[in-house]
Amino acid sequence: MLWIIFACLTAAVLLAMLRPMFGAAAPEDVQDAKDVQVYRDQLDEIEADEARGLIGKDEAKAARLEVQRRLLAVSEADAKGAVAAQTPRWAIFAIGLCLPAIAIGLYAYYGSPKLPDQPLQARLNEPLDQNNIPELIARVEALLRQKPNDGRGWEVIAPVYMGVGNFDDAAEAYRKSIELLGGTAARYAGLGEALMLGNDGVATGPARAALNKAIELDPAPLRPHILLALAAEEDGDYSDAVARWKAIKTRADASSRWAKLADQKIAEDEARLAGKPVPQAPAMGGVAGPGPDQADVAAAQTMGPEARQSMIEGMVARLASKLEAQGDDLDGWLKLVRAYAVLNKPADAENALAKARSQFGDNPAALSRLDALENELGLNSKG
Amino acid sequence: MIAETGHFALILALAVAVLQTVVPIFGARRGDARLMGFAVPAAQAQFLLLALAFMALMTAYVTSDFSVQNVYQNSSVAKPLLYKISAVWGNHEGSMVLWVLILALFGAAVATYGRNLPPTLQANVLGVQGAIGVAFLLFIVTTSNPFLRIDPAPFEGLGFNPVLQDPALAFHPPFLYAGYVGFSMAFSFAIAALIDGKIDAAWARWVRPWTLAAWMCLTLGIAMGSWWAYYELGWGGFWFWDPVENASFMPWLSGTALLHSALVMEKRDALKVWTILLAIVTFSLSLVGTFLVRSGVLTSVHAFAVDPARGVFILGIMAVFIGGALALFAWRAPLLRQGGLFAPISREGALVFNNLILTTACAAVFVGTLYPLALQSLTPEKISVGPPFFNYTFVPLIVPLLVAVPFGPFLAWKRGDLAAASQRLFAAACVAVLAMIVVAALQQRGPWLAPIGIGIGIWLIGGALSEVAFRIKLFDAGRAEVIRRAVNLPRSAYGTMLAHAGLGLVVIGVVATTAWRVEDITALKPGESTEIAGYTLRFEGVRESEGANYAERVGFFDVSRGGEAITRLTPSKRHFNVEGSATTESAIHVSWRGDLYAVLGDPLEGGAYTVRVYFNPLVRLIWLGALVMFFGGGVSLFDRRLRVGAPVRAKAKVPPMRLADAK
Repeated sequence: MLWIIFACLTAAVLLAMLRPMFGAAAPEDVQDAKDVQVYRDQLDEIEADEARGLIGKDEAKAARLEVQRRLLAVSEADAKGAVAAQTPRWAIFAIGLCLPAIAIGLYAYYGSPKLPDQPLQARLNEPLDQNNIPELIARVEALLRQKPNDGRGWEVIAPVYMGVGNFDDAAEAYRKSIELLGGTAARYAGLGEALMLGNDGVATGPARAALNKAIELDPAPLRPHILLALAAEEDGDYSDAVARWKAIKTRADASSRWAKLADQKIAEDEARLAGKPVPQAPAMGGVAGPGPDQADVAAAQTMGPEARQSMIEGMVARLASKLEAQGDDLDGWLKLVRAYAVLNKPADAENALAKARSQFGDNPAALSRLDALENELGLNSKG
Repeated sequence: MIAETGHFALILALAVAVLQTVVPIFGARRGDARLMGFAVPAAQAQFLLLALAFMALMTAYVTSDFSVQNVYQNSSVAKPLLYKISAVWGNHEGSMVLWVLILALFGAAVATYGRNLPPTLQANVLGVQGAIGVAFLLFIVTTSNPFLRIDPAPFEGLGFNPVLQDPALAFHPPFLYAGYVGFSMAFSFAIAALIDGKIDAAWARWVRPWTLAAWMCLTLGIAMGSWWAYYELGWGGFWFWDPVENASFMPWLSGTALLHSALVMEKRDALKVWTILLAIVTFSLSLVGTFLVRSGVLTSVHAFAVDPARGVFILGIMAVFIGGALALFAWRAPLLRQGGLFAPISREGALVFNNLILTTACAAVFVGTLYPLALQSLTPEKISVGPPFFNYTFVPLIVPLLVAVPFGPFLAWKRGDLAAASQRLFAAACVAVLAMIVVAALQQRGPWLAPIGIGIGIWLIGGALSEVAFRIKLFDAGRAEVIRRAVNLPRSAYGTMLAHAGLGLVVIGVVATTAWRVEDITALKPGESTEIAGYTLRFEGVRESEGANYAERVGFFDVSRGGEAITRLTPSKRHFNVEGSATTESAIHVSWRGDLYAVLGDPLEGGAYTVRVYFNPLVRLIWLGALVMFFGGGVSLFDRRLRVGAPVRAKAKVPPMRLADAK
């Protein structure tokens, strides 16, 4: 198809350009009639100027004389006029050959005839690449731009924004989904959390309002309670914080990390109330942090505004969860370990290594590759 | 498929340009009418092919086809449609395509409307035009190809410099290029005439409309650029003597000189060598302008192509065209016959004076622009030539010219009468002097030169009006006679009046703004106010809001004067998400006294914001004047005598009677 277009284009251009070659040549005397015309116009102008009194009689006469002298010179040149030449046939052939030769030669070098156009609409219709978070976000954004009243779209993208640490957009998306689909506990909880994390963990008025609304609609989920407890602590209202943590503890599963977190917070805040030194938090991976979901907070702190960084982290998290579900992908594990090492998370890297080892315990080839990677990355703490 | 068709059309246009260069010139040498005639369809085909390529590129931008690398690098999905379109020429590759498109447009125009040209001249002109096309198309295809592809296509583009996302800037480059490229027409005519060895008064008449069209576009293009810089860069200035601005100003100066000297050549067959040289120089300066901006030797907003390979290529193009043209000129110019003679005080003399000053001023700008670059490339020294240099060289040079302008049209050809001309300008001089005295009396502060500058502006306008008033005998004849004369007066006379009066407006605007602008930089908290030039601005606070592809912080200022509310100004700062950069959107209140100009700065400690407020008296006159000059050019262009492609006349031979009269 493409080449047919090219051929038609070339043929049309050739036809248009060569057509005069086969017509009759213009009569030769036309050439000088053109200059003569200009001078005749000038004579007319002088006459008109004189008639209007713009120039005096003598001036007009002198000017006319000058123009007439030019006319004479032209007529003399006329006499020596060129002889009409016959157009050589080879010239026409050369034109007919050169045009396609140059065009096709250059296009063959620079063109990409096999690539189709890929406008936005076409790209939106392509199958989804699940692993490409930035593309996923861009696609949903593009759709939302076309249909900004699609509440479902906002609802889908909100947690994705949270995942990549883009809390402002997440809050906006939750707000839109509430506006369009109505408020539910989950949406209000999400909004409150996004607002809070977007503000460096400090709960502002709107954040608290959203969290309270979420509890009002459904008191069961723990997350809003925890966030409000943290907010109370932030305010310095430790008795309120203790009360909230106690309530959380009674409702949380005793072995869950929330229960442990609540225990620790109660101890801390009671110490503060009593004016005693705050007990040091035991080094419990993933629990001792200030926030309920350490990954999110850590993400917010380490990434800062660097959207790229946050996207990488989002992708790594995605890979990790995929491997949790489907662990038989050795290359995936290797990639994950390497990614953790690059992100400077040696503990996670070790952790992932251990999980991979247990997964491939009966596969010596895989184990040796894991060992090699461990050595390469300098993770080998066992010596 | 659209993208590849555009790519093929671009390359096919290159092939056509090659033939357009070779065939007609060869035909002209042989005296073969058919081969010469080949130039016409070739020039038309070249234009259509480039238009096709350009449309294809634009389609890729509009549909966000990021498989085209150029689109990926300069666009994003969320951008408003206008800026998707203007992004086509807001980058190096696309702007070069626009450049050759306009080049081809001028070529096609000469092919289509140039029936009044002798075939040999037309063939040679289009041949030279084709050669310029070959050089630039080759440059585009090999080093700056906008149709290179990426596979697979990225989902989101890299965005577009937010500073360039502005309506004035969307239209500024097309006009600027039309100006630059339009002067290629004068160049091609000059080279064609040198090749042909036939340069006479008729030539000057043929070249004038094209030069005039180019000059008009350049005037408007420069004005738009200045207008954009005024409100977008947030400094309230209208001209910065920035090298990029100078690059467009130099061809304007020499192009203005060319317009005037072509007049002499047309009327008197004099100044032929000089006019040809000016035509070559003007286009050379356009090429230098292209080089300065494109090669990346300048670090500024405009230098989007920082690539030495391209720089070397453009340098090569310049060496070939400028060097070749000057060599041809050196070889052929001595063969030209000298034309009509004239006394120093005459219309010709005035135009020579105009040319001398314009070219000297142009040379001053040239030195000021290029000397620092040359010094920097030859020695480790880095100097910067700022506005003071230009104020001390350009301004004193141009002032005598401005004073002399009104005299020109009053002087007769060959031998003029200065005393008579002065007499006729007496009224204008009185008004100008009166204006000077009034301004000096009212002036509270500002340089003593300011009233003189204003006086010169008034003098220019008064002189331009007096000329027409004199020619239609406004005060000496009955009403019917005046109307008859006004109707019969050639349009070019009105064009001259408008262009010269427009110049006067520009002068007044420049002088007033430069001398009396007031600026105030202060920190305001919401509720506080500041005063400037009689206005009170009360800062009401800021609001955050969202645009199509940016987030903005808008400041609100209630403006009042003498307790009377006037307007509300809303300057803002925009942050563009995709590009990760910010722009300042100034807010301007326009009144007949001048512009009140407010810029919102960054927040300070304690809830205050930096606020910059300017009052620019009469600044609008600068652009209004440029617009008037543009229309003056237009009026002149439609003068019956310059009209191109006049309908074919009855082919009567020259009446022998008139020739007999001459003897």
